[in-house]
Amino acid sequence: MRDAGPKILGYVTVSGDRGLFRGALLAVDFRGIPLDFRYTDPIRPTKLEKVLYGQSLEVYLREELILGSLVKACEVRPVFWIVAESSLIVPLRRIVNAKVCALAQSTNRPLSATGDLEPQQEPGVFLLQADSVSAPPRLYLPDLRADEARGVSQLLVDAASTMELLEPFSRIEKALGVVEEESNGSESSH
Amino acid sequence: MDPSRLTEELKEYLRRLFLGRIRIRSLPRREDASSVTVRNGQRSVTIHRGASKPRIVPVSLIGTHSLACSSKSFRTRSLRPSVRGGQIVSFPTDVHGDAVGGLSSKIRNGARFARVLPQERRNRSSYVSQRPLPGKRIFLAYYAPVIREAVLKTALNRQKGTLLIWYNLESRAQAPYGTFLMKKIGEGGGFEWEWSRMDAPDVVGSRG
Repeated sequence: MRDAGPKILGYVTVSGDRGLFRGALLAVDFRGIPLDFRYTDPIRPTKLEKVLYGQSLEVYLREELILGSLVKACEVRPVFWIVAESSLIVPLRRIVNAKVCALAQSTNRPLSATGDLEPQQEPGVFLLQADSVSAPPRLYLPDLRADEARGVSQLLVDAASTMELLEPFSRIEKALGVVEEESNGSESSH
Repeated sequence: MDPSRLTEELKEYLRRLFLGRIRIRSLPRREDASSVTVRNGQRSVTIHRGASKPRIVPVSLIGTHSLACSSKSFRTRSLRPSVRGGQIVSFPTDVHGDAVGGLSSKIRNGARFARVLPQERRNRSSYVSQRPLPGKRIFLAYYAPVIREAVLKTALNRQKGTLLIWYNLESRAQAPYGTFLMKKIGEGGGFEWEWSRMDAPDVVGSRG
């Protein structure tokens, strides 16, 4: 893993719809320009594997197999990791040994100033006014001290000044769609 | 009644009563006999075994690795107090099955896909307080942040109302801009983009 400078964000998604598991990682600089993109082949556990792994199957697939493999394959070192699913925070934090947050869009009214961090009722959940021209995204930062949370929010505000914070997630979806189309095309041509 | 006939009838009665169908006849009495020899029908009892000695024949289990049961001289305890068993052969040690090795994740490098995909910006017009002076134009949308000096190409997704941006990946430009989409009124019509620095939002910048 090469260190490409301090300002890199790592976006990770892991999906497990209808028994088909897949993960992807997009590392971007603070302008949203891609530096690395890794994805897994879809994994569909067999009936035998479902029986043998039991209830631990999904955890094993998501956390050990997909997350661990993606991070290991990434050739840049993000300073901060962003996930869409809050359940990935703890396992990803364990793997990357860095700060991780879950970020989601909200429809709340903008807070009074850029950089405002408003705690919500649920512990570890904040609204962050990341820029002056959007609704504050919902930020989940479990088990962080107040000063750590402020440090994270400042980093996200810096990034939001030159990129749209949640946009890389939709780009991951598009990229996986292109991969799938290409895969289907190559299969039908054989 | 004739006494001899009476005697015969009595004998017959007694014979039926006690001796079943065995007919008993009296020996003719000889006048000179001094003694009567009585012969009985003595019988000896001989017991023949109707069955052979108990013997348990081992039944082979299916398969060559079956449990071996050696019991040729096996007797039940009541017949022979010392019971000796055969050696019990362990169960087969060869376990056959399929290895569960299917759960693996192959990681692909998708950098070539990521490089060609544009970034997408939503319309943020509802959050913008300072808009360009309308003049003979209608304000339509506002997109931000955009690194203007790094832009290679933009395209408007009219269905979604989003702006697609392709950046020059080698550019080192950092300055963020916002861009207003304006529709010109009058002759020619058409669209017009107006850029403004995001770190100076009150300043409406150049047209392009």
